Amino acid sequence: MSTAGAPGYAPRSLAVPALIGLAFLLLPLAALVARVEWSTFLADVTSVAARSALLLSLGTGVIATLLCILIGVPLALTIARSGPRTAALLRAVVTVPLVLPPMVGGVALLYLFGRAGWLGGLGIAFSTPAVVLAQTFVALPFLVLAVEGAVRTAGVDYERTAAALGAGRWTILRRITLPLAAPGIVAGVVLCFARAIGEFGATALFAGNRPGVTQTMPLAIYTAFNGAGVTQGTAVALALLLLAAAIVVLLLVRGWRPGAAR
Amino acid sequence: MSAGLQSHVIVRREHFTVEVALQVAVGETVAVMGPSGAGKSTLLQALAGLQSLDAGEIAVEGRVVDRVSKPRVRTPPMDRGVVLLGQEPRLFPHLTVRENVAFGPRAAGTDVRAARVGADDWLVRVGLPGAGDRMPRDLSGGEQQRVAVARALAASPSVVLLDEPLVALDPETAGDIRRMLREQLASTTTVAVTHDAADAVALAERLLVVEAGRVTQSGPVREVLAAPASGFVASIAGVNRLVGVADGGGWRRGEMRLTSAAAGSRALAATDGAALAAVFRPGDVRVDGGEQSWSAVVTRVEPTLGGMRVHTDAGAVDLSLDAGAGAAPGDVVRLQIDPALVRFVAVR
Repeated sequence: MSTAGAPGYAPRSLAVPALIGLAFLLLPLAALVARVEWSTFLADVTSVAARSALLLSLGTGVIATLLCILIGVPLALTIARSGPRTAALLRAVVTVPLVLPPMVGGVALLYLFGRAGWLGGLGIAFSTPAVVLAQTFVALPFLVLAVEGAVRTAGVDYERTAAALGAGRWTILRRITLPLAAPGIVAGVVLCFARAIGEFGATALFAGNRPGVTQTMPLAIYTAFNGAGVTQGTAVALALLLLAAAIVVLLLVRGWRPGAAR
Repeated sequence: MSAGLQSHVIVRREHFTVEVALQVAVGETVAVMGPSGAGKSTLLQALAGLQSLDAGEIAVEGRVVDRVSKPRVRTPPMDRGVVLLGQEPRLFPHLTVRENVAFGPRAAGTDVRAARVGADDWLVRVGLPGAGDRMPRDLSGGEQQRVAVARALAASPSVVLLDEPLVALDPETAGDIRRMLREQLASTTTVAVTHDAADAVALAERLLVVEAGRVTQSGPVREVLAAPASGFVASIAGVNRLVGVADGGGWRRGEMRLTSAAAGSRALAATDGAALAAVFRPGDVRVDGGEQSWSAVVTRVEPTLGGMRVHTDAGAVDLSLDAGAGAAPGDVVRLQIDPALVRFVAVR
């Protein structure tokens, strides 16, 4: 007997600011689409620079998202099952990269992985792995917070029931905990991937802007706008491509609904 | 007896300590009743492994699963062979009914096909044939509880714990499921916490009464209900229980006296002054005076399911509707009961 979607009693006049909000989000995108130079669009988005930037973005974005799932889901489970004080502390720690300007994150990563850094010996800075690390650093909090909320909401009652029926810890995780948190995990993965392929600041400082190696879509767009190498038309075309990619991912993920989704 | 469950549970709570020794033979069902907050749920949680003991020991079919003294044992819930069935069915919402029932066998390593066939058999046994493909949210509360029973028993546990599994259901549905439980639990070692004497009578061989963390009475269900050792047991059995003293082969409470030549009760032979409870059914009390009656001033009258409860200066007495009709606060009534219909129970 869900009441989600019922009209409720919010003041009708709130429709005005609500429409303004919607317009504020959509108008800039419309303006962007309006500036697309359709005659050169195909050439722009299939140019070598554009293709390598797109592939690099998608590749690093996917790897970063997988990394986030691998370390973020366990972290989210840990926070969700901690006592209130520990959970609050851990949640604050996880939130830091979220509120930090990405540039600062990039500087921090550079001081850790850069030549003089603690882990400088790995030689990661200004390479493709650095792009992945920068994306993981800024995207991880989105995944952790979304999954943590879902796991905490699901509670431990079903886990206890499963344990009483003789299920081991891995079985409970696989068949109960993760499926029940699936809507949160899906939301977290979407946010995480979107944040990863949109990452600019930390990547620019920590990975640099080398075409084909560290120049992802956002960096390519920035470079294009600054007039180096490609034209402004290319920048607009690339931006549209990134927008389209984001929408496709959203639709794909929303289309895939696990049985748990209600 | 061969032991299905042997336990001595000691759990310290903020205001009192739960200390219950409970033995259940293989295949036996023991009902546990007690007022709210008496520690019944704590007992079940401890047996299930969801609550750690402060002292004591729990053994399931001879295997120690919990022991506080050394060598310390603390078997996690999944390895105890104990399944707890609570008020909420808690069916896994993302799994079909069949997958819910097959969950225990699957976790134990049964292959998918065999577990599904077994689950369908269990659904037939709990009265839900063909419901395997439905989702829990599409079932009524009673149907969900049936599935929960099937799921619990399909896991072939050594011990089943019931924590008021019928309390959230309407009386008719509860009655149906009580009958089903009676059939399905006949050969299962079971501890059933309930607040309804009907559950105890229908499901259990023995009844354990727990009040303020302690066992206050235990024995065969009907014997306990017939000789209530406390006001709580009298209330669940629906009988009157007035505590007085043995007095010259009879019973006395203030002005009230009951003597009977026929009363060969051993309790009545108690030493004069020993505390003795008179237990009698509401329907056996009359308000017309006569021999062996006592007068009492009515202070309050409240309706009960079976008649009236008349509170007097001499204690509260439940009466049938006929006898209680007309009684009003301030009235002086003469209550009378045939001593042959009274059971005298020694008060410990």
